[in-house]
Amino acid sequence: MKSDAVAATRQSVVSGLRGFFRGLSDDWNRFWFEPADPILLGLIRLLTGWMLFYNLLTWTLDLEAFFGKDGLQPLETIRRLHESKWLFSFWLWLDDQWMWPVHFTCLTIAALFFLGIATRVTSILAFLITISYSQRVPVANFGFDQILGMLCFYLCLGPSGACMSVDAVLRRWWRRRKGLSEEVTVRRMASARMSMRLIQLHMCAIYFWAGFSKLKGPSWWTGEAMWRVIANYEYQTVDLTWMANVPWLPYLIAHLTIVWEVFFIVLVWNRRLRPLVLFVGLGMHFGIGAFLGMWTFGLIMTFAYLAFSDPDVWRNRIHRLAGRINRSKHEPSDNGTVSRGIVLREPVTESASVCHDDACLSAAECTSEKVSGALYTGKTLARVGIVACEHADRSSLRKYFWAHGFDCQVVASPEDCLGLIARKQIDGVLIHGPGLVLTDVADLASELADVAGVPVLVTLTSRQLDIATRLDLIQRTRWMALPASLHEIRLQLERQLIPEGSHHG
Amino acid sequence: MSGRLKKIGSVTGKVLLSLWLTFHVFSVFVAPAAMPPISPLLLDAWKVALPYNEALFQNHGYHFFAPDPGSSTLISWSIPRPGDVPQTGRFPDPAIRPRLLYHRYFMLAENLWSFDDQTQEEIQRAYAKHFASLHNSSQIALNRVSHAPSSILRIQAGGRLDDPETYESEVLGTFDFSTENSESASLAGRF
Repeated sequence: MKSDAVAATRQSVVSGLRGFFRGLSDDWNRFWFEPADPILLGLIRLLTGWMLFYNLLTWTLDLEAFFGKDGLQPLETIRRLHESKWLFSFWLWLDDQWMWPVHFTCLTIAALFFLGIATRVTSILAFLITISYSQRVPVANFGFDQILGMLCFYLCLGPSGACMSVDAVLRRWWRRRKGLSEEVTVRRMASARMSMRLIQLHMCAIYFWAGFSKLKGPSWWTGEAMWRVIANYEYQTVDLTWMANVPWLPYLIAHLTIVWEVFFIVLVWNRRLRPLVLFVGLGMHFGIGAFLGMWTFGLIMTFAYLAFSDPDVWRNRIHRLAGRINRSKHEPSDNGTVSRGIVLREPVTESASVCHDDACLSAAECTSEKVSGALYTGKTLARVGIVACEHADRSSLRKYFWAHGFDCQVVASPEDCLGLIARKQIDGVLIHGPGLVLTDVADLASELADVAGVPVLVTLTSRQLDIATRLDLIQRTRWMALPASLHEIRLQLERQLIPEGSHHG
Repeated sequence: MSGRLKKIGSVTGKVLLSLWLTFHVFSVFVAPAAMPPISPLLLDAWKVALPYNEALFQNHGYHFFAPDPGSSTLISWSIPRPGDVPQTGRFPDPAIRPRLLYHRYFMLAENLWSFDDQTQEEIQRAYAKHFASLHNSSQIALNRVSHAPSSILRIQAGGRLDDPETYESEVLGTFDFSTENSESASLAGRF
């Protein structure tokens, strides 16, 4: 009896521990490796690449003075300084005769990186270039170089050329040439999540130490420190000495700076406080740019803030902008296919495939479901198109609706849904929002309702719903908040499909 | 079998990646800890990550305007002209454009003092040589100028940020490069 109780206790402890560690492992995987939209990395690459190019362009003005063998930082001195260190800089091994050709090559690579051409290669080269220049002239370095190096490193780890790049445009062109869907489904990637997390944590480390190091200095406690920064004649670009007449203001700014920097590491992870925390940071860095003349440093710090942003919001903004440009290019359209920035495309071919994460769902698979079941209209099968990004969601929705007598046509992206509508007679569409880009969802829903006249039900997570409501994306669409059971989703869809007074045949 | 191997490979890869991420984040957080005062424990931790941080150019302190923002440093130079007043100049020169280049020169004057004595001496000599050759001279004298920020009281009393009393000059040396062409460059005289 006693041994049974001991065994049961042991088993419950073991299973509890197993559950705890499994939960920990899941959290770890979700934090680091949950596939993410790479659009923000693309945006950060665009801005950082521009800054790298500008930095190199500035070196051009005084290249020989700074990088010459007998320049302001003699090569032999810097070599001796670095001799016991584990660092890389090609400048330490270059003769003066190669200075200009190498510099112009670096400028070209920086331009390619900025534009997102061969980004996988140019991002690695951009990082090596950044650290090479910085290590060669250590006396001339400041915070800007540190942040530039940090961002270039994380950009070469992640898929920084997947979006906002010439590479992406070329991929789209290649698909069009091959007769595939012109739009490439956003491929969420674990490496994008990892890079973004690294940028976020690095920013936390920077502010953590920036704040704590200030606590070592009495002037940050007395509040005088901010005045000393303001009154630094060599830094200032705008005269702020009027603050001497309102001395409480620099004191207050000093105290707020400390509080903000020290607590950034905690507050930025709170979704509600994050906008405020980043807004204060933007103010601080723009202030550094405008009043201390360090625009390069101020701006590059704010570029890193993008890692804390919501990719959906930025993708929507960019889509809207692109849609506006697209509309202004295409209106008035001769065939009437342009609507809300989406161009109705030809149906995808049978060989086409749409990719999501690491799983590929072929078009053949999308059309393979032929189900006979309960008749909803009394005459024909209700044929439902289901759009779901995740393979697991597609699978469970298809099985469930099939089991309840629907003829399911399952696709992974809004583009393929349009192709499906053009090919098949579809009675209604269920758009399962999680993982899809909100503007794509909104555009597809209105396209289906306005052009094809098909009833549409959209399921959205509470976060998506929040954004969609704020951006007024789903004003004319039936939507449903998740979590919801499959039963609830089916009932809602049935209500839209079956006319009043009808019943199951 | 191959599927099983693939799964083992994937799990091993993820574990290795996780270990690297842990070490990387540790390195990032421990890098600035080396700025004194520091405990022996933190110093040891910093040493563990040092080669990695140096290789990735992330061995930084991030002590922006800390612990106390103080005087800024400039370097002034003076070139003797026979029968005339010496030609003088100072860097960073606010006329330097773009502003990023100005900051590079500012850092040349500001950061030098954090390096070891030999490096400081060699780089001062390089500055001297650079500015002497810019003005076609073989002799030049360098001064280190500290510019203290004016206090609130001084400004309230009608003072300015560039009041001469806020500048303090220290002679670095006089450099003579007239023998440089004969491959025997030497520091002619140092004070």
